[in-house]
Amino acid sequence: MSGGPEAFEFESACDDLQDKVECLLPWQSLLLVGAADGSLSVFDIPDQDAEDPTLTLSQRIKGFSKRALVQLDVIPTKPALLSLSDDGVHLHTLPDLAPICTVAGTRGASRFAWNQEKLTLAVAVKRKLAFHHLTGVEFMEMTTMAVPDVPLVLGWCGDAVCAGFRKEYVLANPNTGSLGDLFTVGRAMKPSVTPVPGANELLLAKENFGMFIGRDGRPTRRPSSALTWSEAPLAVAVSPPYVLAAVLQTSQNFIEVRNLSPSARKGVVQMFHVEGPVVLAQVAGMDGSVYLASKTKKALWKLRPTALGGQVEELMGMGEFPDALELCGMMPEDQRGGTEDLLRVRYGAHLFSEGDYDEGMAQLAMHSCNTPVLFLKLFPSLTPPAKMKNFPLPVPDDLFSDMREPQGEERVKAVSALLPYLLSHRSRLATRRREDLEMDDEQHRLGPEVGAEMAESGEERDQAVGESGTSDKTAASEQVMSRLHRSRQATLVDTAILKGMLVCPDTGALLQFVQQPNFVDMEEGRGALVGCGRYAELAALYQSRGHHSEGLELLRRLSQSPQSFDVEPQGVASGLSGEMGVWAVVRYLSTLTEKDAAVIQQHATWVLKQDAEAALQMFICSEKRLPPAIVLPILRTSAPQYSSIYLEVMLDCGEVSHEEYDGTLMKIYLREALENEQEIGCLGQPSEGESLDSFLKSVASEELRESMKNSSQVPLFTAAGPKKMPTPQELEDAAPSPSQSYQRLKQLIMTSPYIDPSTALASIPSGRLFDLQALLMEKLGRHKEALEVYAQELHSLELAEALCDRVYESSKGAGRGDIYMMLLEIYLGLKDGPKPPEWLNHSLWRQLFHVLSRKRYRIDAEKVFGALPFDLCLCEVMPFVEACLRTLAEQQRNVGVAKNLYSCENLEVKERLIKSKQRMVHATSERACHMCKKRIGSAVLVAYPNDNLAHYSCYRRGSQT
Amino acid sequence: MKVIILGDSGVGKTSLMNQYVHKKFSPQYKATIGADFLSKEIQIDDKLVTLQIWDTAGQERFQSLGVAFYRGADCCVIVYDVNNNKSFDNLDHWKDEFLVQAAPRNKESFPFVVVGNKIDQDNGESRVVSEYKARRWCAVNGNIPHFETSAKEDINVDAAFMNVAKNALSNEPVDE
Repeated sequence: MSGGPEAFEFESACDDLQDKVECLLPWQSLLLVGAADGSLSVFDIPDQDAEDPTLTLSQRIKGFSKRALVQLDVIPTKPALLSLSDDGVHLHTLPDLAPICTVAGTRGASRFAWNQEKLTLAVAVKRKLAFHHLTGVEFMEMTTMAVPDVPLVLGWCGDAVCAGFRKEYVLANPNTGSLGDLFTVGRAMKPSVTPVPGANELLLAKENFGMFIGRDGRPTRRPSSALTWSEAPLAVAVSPPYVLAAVLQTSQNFIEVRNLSPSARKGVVQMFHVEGPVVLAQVAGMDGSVYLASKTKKALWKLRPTALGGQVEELMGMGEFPDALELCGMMPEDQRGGTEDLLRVRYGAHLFSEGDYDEGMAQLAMHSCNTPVLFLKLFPSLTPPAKMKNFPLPVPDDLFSDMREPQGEERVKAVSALLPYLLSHRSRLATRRREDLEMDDEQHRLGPEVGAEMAESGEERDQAVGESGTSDKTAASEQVMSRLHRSRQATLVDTAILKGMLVCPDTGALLQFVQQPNFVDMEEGRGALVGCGRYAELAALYQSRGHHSEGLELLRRLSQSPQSFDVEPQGVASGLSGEMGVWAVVRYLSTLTEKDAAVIQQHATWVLKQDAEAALQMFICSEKRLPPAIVLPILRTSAPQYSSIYLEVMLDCGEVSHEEYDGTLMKIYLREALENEQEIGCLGQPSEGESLDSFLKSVASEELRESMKNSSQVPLFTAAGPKKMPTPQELEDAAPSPSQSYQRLKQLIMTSPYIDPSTALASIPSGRLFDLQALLMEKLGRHKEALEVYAQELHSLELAEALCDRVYESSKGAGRGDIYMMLLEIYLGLKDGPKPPEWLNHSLWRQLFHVLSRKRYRIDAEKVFGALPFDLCLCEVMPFVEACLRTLAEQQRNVGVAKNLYSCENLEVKERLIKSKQRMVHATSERACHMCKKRIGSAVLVAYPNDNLAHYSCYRRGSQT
Repeated sequence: MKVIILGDSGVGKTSLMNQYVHKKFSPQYKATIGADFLSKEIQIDDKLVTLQIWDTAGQERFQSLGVAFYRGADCCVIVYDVNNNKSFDNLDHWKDEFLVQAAPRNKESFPFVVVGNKIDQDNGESRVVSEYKARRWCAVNGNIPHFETSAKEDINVDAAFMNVAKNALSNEPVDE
């Protein structure tokens, strides 16, 4: 009938009882037996290990009570024995059984219940409940409550007492005086109240159901999980995790053993047939044994619980895993370790084979040993068994021997249940790695001595995984070993994750996974990815692991010859043919650094040919830009037309310094200029709008020169921000025409403080780019040579004149006009040379003298005339002569005008003087000479500047003296 | 039963889980790498339930593999820091992220629990997200249960997870 392992063993404890047993109470190593005749027997319970389980009678007190002993209980704190007989509740000491007191007013009581927490005794006396409080050695009656019937059973339930009558249960609260109905007892009229130890629950019998109520009187379990006995129980006892009930079934007496726990399997665990009705001890003994006595035969029996470990294993063997786990949970923690682990694994494997992968994995994950091997063992397709040989299973190997990996749809389900666990192991390994690194840092920081101590304390932390150092040395070596082990484990886990993700539908997770730093076994990973055509993921794997040459080569193949693969590209890879693949390569290359220069060069070259825009994007716009030292050689060989624009942008955005790269840029321009000399066309003629002259003048301005020093050339792109990069399209558009590029070359040479003009001059092949040569010579102060170039090679009087003007304006002193003389002398020298050139003709001379005539104020005409040879035709010199004459006449006129102006001014001054000298002296008859003091009268007078008057004669006399 | 903990980086997801399962708290902050889980067996009503709590990294760069973890979840706990407005504002983001990635069948009724952590910080002086505000968000988003906890002081942690477990139990599995 019972399907589980034996929970209890039925043993005879005593078969020669002298009395008819009414009640039983195990207490410590004693069993107290109350008899119908009022006698109390005390038996010694033998040790658990004792061979003979028979109880030995140690004491028998005849007449312990005058009437039959109905109920026994213990006050464990004293300790003292409570006993109930018809004449009331008595208290005796334990184990001496000396009387202490009798509880007053309990004569005729039917039942009592002791509450250890509140030190309160509830006694049912006829149709009332009396509550007594224990103070010292006396019970004080606190309160009484009337109840509808005579309580047959009592049990404390929180603050209240649950009383069972023939027909119903009520809850009586002595504090509030309230009575509350619970539920009916049912037809059986056999109320039963049993406290569940340690659970704050009361087990009440209702018909053949066992209902649990909590401290508040409410049911604690759903009706569906109530206990269901085969019949209404006659008596109930609890020995966790089981509940035992005496039932009468087809006039046979049985003890039914059932699980107490609500989550365990329902149904009978074990059943014992007993002869005749029995008395059951309501509480179990210390070892969980339940005692029972026959009412008809004078015998005592014992139901001894079998070891939980054994039961667990038996249940496990039967495949009743949840029950086994439940029982396992009841075992003391220090005993259950191995059993529980084994149980978890077996349960997990069982669930797994049933197709409940999630729950199966969850069980495996509960294994105390933190290892991914348990999971991987279930998936030989993800981890070849050969690779696992370094990783012993923490459970017997044969557990998995008949496991088969699911296939098809089921496999996908199983693998997707597996992946989170593998990823969590990955997280754990990563965390350990971080701790290792931190520890290394710490050791490094603290120096070797303290570091060693740190290593030791680190080992202490590691003890969980079974590492412990006896000495520093072994500690260190074990540390290395465990790190090695972990890194192998990381490879195992990461490789399995990769293969697992290949099994699941592609969500992009795999790509993201391989893009992160990982420890995937390259050989296996490559095989798996290639087998599925997931080349994009493979390229990402190559990239994250630094196998750049393979990664780029793969992308190149995807882009350029996608049909060359045995397995057709799948997923992301299928979209990488052609241009998209080129861009993928560009993105890849953008992440590389100088140390991969060779591979960059290899792939940048074909990308440049394939899609210049993409390549430029890579060189210019990527976050981590490659240094021009790598890029320039690539451009030079594959796309020289972009060299200058690339470098200009780099300089513009401050990526490289002018100091370092102005020279390089110049060389690039120069090369372009030399290559395109024809196209540049009319040499020296500034093209397309901007006149060289005006440009050079602007260059000459101090302000601009200052700004040039601050390294900023005329910006190529007038971007808003200094760092804003142009798009490749803009770049291509901005690629300069040869003449523009030549303009920039000149601009660079004239403005950059980092270019040595003499070196630059030396790098121009003789006979090429004369205007540039002239410019450089000018910069070097070799004006004569520059003028010669303009005159002889370029035949450009304008340029020569412009140079002279620049020199004149930038120098000081009287001799600065000599530059024009130098110009003249060069031409004259040519004329007098051994072979006067043909172009030195009439019109040129006229032009030259026109020039000189414009500069006549700057030069000494006499010197010019002095230098002119006699054989020069006057008509050629005419412009200058005319100009000089005109100048003379003009000067004469000017001088005449000036002279007249001066005399006019002189006259004006004179007039003003006269006016300022005029004054008025008032001479009346009253006024006297200030010398002789006589009246002036009508005599001739003299006026002094101070307005004094004097006779002229007096004045004369005065002045004579 | 599978429970996922989501939320911004540094709001205390790992601490909450450790406090609940191990009754331990470490004041030292270490960013979670990837995702990991802890299991705890609890009794709900008359069922013994193994609660598997998955703690995910809040940092963006670890989220890519989220879908692998989210599948089969029975409840999702979103944690914010009551002293950090942004972590609260991101509740919407995390809820949507979960619903998109896990794609549970019962999108409307999938059980979430919202937890405001770190109520102990500065004795509540630095709090910026009021309980009222949080409750209102929860009410608007389909009466999501809301708890305020302190993983450090172990305030309300058990209650929050008990509610999580009950909610998870009431939920039908996401797939199957």
